[in-house]
Amino acid sequence: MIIAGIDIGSLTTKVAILKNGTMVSHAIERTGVNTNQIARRLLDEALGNSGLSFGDIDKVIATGYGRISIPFAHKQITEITCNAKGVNHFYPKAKMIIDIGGQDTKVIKMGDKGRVENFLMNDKCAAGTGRFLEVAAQTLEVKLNDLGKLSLKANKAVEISSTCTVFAQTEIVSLVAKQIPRENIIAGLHEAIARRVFSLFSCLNPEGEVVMTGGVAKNAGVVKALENLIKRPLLIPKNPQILTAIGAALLGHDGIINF
Amino acid sequence: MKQVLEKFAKVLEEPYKWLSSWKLANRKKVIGCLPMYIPEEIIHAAGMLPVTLLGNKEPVTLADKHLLTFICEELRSSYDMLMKGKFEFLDGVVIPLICDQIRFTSDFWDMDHPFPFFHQIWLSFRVDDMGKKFLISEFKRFKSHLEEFEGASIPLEAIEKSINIYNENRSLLRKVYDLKRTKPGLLSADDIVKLVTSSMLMPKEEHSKLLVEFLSEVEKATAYTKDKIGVILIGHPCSPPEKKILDLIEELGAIILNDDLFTGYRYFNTDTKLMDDPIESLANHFLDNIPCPIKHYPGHFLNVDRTTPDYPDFVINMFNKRGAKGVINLGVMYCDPYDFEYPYLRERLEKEKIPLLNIRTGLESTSLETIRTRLGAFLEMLQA
Repeated sequence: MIIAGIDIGSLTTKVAILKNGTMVSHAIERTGVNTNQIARRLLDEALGNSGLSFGDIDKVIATGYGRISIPFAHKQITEITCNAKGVNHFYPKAKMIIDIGGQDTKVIKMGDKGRVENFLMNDKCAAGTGRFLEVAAQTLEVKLNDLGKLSLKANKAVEISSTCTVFAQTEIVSLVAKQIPRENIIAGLHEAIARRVFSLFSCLNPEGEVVMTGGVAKNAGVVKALENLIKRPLLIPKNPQILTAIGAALLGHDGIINF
Repeated sequence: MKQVLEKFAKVLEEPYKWLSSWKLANRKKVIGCLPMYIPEEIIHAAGMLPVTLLGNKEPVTLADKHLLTFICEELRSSYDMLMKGKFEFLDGVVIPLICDQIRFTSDFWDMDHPFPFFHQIWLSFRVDDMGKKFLISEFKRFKSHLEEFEGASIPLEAIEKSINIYNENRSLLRKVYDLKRTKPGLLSADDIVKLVTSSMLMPKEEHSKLLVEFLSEVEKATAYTKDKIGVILIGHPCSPPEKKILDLIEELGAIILNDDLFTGYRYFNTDTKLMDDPIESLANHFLDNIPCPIKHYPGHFLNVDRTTPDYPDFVINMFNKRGAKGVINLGVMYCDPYDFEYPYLRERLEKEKIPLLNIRTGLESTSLETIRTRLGAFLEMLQA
């Protein structure tokens, strides 16, 4: 059975193709403005990479922000449920998920078999999301992917007082003007984002193992700052961005949800 | 059925224009009442028309000059409408001092725009004998002030008659509400809001006539039944919830088995029981009505008597009685009574293992798409 999970996020779209429950291909690209186009194109790309075609697919499950605009999807399931399913598949003992995406942050508490017990989202303000880091990287003129390793070289994390992504830009510029080392500024930014995510996470009365998903999990500096606050190691999947797409495909496989 | 619904919707299109023409045609006085719990029957018995002053969707521009940040959107909007001259047709305004927000701003109404009649009425926050005595004295004071304004006394028999007219309207609204439950899909949650808000803005007698006509249509109609997830809706204590959110809840596969919204079940759930003294009857109606975050039950607080249900008890009972799967709270910003009650409510629901979703509505809310994700995930959670 061939099932495709498509996660159309506000910043990036992810596709995972499962053949009899095992992932055979995946792809990721920036979503852009036309969610319908990117979904189909990325799906075809992933199919091509595994020697399959659209006609081979038994089911398509769409998730993420753009899930309602995919006409060829058999079912739409929210990314909360899909993320939990995906995480539970690889980490059956895990209880908590922290997912920091491009423009939103989710924390999820799981019951047995990856069932969602409770969840919270921060989607009102970009300050606790990947967007915050994107803006910071741009302002500091460094590559987004270098933020993590640069921050690990810091000897001190500077206190960032702005709670707003936009105003933080101004603050960064003034810190650079004061000759504060870039690494220390970045470490401070990582602590700021970790604090915000941690306060959301704490509201769920967390317990047990914690898995981190979403693009920001690739940033070692944020991971370290978060681990210092939650006081336990974060489990990071090999490819943290596609867990939700995998979860979507798994749900299609199990046929668990019947609306 | 759609045609009768349109008659209700017409009243809501431009309610205050409609009321101005009604006033001219009928030569009666119109008294605006801020939400909620004002004993309108006394105004009705004096031969005047009480109407509820609700905010609207226009951007607030003038009110911000006078009001502090922590005033809820509903009050901010209705005050803005006052400043913009939308309430010129009113002969008077009555303001219930039910929360800090309204208490701190009620004087502005009289200062910035004096009306021929202006009255601030205290309600009793305590639900006990002491509170009842106070409430009766406040209602009597209100009655005297109205009599002074009208230049004529309000006979107790007239108040009794008005109570019956109001009860008739409540009973008809309850009938529609029950039909909505038994014929899912026929009426939307927003349809109920339209029916209740139109009742707040027109003479009860006329509204009841429309309801009778509407009921005969609804009783004839058949509805499709589809497997839906039953939820209880709470929140929005003093304002109508947004149509787009109600529609979204139903679109995603939930059915609202019961609610306690101001423009919903709360408005018509029980009749005023007529006793010898109609003023006492009105006082009892407030005290015995379904719990509300502004009501304080001293027996609970002192841990000596839990026979009267408090607000969380009420929500839990609603949930169990209707066999619902979850509770959705439509929270409004800057509602102190509700915010103070909410942590206690959440704790009690957690203890009973009742799933609860909190959605912020109004200008402070997130986009509809993010609400869609939250609602969707919550309903998926309830189904698993």
